[in-house]
Amino acid sequence: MSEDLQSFLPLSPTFFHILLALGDGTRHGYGIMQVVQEHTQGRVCLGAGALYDSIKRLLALGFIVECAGNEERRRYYELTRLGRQVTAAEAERLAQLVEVARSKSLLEGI
Amino acid sequence: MTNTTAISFADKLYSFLLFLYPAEFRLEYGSEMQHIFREGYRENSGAPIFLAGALGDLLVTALRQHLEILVQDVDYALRMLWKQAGFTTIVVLTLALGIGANTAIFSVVNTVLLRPLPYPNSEQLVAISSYNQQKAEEQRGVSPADLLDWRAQSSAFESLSLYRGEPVNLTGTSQPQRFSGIVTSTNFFETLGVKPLLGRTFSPDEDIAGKRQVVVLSYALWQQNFGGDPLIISKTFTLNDQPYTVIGVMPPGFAEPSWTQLWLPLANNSSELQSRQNRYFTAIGRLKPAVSLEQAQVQLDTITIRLDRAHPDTNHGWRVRILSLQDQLVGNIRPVLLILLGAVGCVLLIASTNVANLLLARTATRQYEFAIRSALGASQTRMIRQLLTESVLLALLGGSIGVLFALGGLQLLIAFGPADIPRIKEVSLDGWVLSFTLGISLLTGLVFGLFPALPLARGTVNQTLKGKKVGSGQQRTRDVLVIGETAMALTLLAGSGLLITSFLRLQEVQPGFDTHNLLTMVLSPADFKYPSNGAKARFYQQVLDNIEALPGVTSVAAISDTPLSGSNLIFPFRIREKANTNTGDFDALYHAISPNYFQTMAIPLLMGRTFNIHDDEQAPSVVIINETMAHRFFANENPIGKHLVLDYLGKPFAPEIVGVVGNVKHNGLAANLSPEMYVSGLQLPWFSMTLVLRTAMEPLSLSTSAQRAVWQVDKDLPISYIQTMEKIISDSVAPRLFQTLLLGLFAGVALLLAAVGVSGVLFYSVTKRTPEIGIRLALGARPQDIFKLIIAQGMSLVAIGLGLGLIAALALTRFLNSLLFEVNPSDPFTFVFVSGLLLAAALMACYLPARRAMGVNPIEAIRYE
Repeated sequence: MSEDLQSFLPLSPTFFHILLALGDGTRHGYGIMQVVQEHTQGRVCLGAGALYDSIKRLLALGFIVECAGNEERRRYYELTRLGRQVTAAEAERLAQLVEVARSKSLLEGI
Repeated sequence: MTNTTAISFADKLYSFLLFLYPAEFRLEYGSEMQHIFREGYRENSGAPIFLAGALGDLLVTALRQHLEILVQDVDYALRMLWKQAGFTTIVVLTLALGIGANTAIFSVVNTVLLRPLPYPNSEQLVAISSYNQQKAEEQRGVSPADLLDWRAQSSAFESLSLYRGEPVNLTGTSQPQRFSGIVTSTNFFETLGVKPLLGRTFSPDEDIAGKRQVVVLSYALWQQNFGGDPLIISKTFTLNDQPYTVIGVMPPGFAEPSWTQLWLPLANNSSELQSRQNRYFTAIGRLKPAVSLEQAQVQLDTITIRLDRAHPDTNHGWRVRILSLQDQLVGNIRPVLLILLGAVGCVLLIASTNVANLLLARTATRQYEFAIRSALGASQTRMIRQLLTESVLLALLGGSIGVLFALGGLQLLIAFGPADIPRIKEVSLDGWVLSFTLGISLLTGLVFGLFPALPLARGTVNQTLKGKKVGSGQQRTRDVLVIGETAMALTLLAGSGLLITSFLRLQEVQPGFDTHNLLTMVLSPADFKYPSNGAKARFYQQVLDNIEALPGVTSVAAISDTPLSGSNLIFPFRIREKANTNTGDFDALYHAISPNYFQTMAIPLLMGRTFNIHDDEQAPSVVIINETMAHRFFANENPIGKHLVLDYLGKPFAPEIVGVVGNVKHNGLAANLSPEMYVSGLQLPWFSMTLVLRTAMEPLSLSTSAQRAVWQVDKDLPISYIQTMEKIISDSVAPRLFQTLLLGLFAGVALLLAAVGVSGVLFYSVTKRTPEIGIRLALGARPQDIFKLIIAQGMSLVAIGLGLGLIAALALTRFLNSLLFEVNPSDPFTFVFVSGLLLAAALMACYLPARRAMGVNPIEAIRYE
């Protein structure tokens, strides 16, 4: 199983941001954008086109699915089981890299 | 208020730009994206940087979405085409034929008509010619004296130069040789702006007579005759019996005019420079950068009118015409090339029509595939896009193979095309041609792909799953395509039929002499060896006597320029017995001949006598004129005994007319007859004469013994252009034959493709109508009735196409007028003939499908239903 997950890694930063944004619940597109901005202190600002281009791919990959939401007219998305696993695997991969950086005292001043 | 206006404007712009996305994507996410944009816009209070970011994002992702679809479609299309390899091959080859032919012809058009001449700022280069409406002179050269006045009085030109041809004899080497030279003003190379490969070109003072004489060689001559000798500069050779020093070699490819092998400066004291009547020079000029052709024309008009008043005896009525050098070079060939381009365009249309029909039939068989895709959610536009991708892919494949066809075709065209197409050697497939090919391939793919895609757009496919058959709409499209291609094929057939008729008429033209068993060769005796007319006359007489004695020679004569050889000398004259006429009022072709010329050529004597050996320098001067000249200048009187007054190279000459002979087509089989005069070569021999030998055997078999007979008289004499009269005649019609063959080839291909198209559509229709035919047979129709039914179906389409084609042909063939000879552009015989040809081909095309329909087994046919 984890072998299969490895084949999806590394995730593109945009994918990872979107998946992270959905980590704590369902959101619509605009919501995802706002959360991504929040997570990155405004450094990552997805355009609408880039966002839906990625959403389309993530849907095709089976990482996310469309679901019901509060507002009738908006489209909401949530993580699938696979999506959650992939996100976790990516986060772990990055965490390991951060560990390496720390062990080489590269993160001193932070 | 303004803020809301701005919001609503940005909103509208965004929703408009959303249409850049593929439909699926837009329908799926468009409103969400709009929502995000609106929120973001408000949040950023309409900052331009936000707007720019949003639009950039939109454009980039739209492009990515389209590319994604394209990759999918191409992948799918390639798999479809691979699965149906037979179908693909037929379509690709049909298109390759059409696109290849277009590429080949366009590459000629591109090089000859569109590509600028290979000189710096070549758009400034012009050619100047004279004409005289009062004398019905359409196109003449210019005289040096006039040109000197233009140079002095006009401010439009950076430089003006002139040249004329000059045959050049090279002697003192192992074998005497003759080259095609040009005598030119010293600024010739500066005018064109070309630099030599080796050495230098003329300096301005090298036209001074008596100075060291210099020559510039063409690259080809340098390579062929001097072995590319790198030390050739400053070497001296004997040309026309004078020592000439080589000062330069021009770069490869430079030859102006195209047949030139070497260039000599025109001596500034030459007597030719004095007379305003020597209108046999070619003038080229370079306009000053800011001066237009029209401005230069206006200036020269003023000057020529001034010259007309100042020199009425020589310049009355003479005007000049300025053309760009390029137009001058290619003006004659332009209509031919454009007609050929139109013709290949038609061939491509017909080929595309067939392909459209094939695709249409295939789409019909793929209805279930499309119905299922549609049921699975593919939109109509998406499926149309898929179909167009397939057809464009087919066209691009066809185009790639077409380029290969074109490369082959061009080799044939250059090898077998007449040498007189200017710049034909430069023809190549360059970037422009390849862009053209890409363009027509894409266009072809889109246009013929639309036909099969149309039923999808009409939504007929969705009915398929409901069990309905495709309606009559598709059959109608098919019928229209067949009618269209039949009409185009007929138009091409009519055009080529007219050219063929012209060519046949041309073959029937009587040249005015017996062309069989005639051998010709050009002799160019050195002027210094035979300085007087008497010496030249004795030399020729001796040569003629020697050759006459050869076995196999029935008769031999000499003339200054043989008919149809392309050279002509025009002499102005007046008639002494007619008062108030000036020299220059009339002119006629001038020939010097040996006494038995008319007998050798079998040109009939109509009045008076021919020359004999007593018409020499001591005898009174005599002249013989042709029938046209007698009619034109002596309409109701006897020309015999009258006198012409000519200016023979500065000396007056007044021969008496002693005879009238039959007309000869001197300027070409298709040309009008001109007045001609013949003087006795014993009185005024021309510098270089052509021998004509009437032989009792194959003429060329005598060429060696005839040359030897000449060299017995003068071993240094260059002999050139040894050829039969039949060869001269076939060369003179070669360009016409070439046009005729090429257009005939295109018409033939068009006819074949149209027949295949008719056949294919009928086969398809028979397949579709099999149940109906079965029912008819079951109800008692005889197989012959079915046969007739199918033939009638096919032929009724052909008949409509034929009618439309006739109308189109009648409207279009008048553009062929300049290429036709003694054929009316709407010649009924030709039109009836090509219609018959088309009908016959169409009948054959209908036959096979009709036979298949006859063979339908009623029981199986109905069960199939």
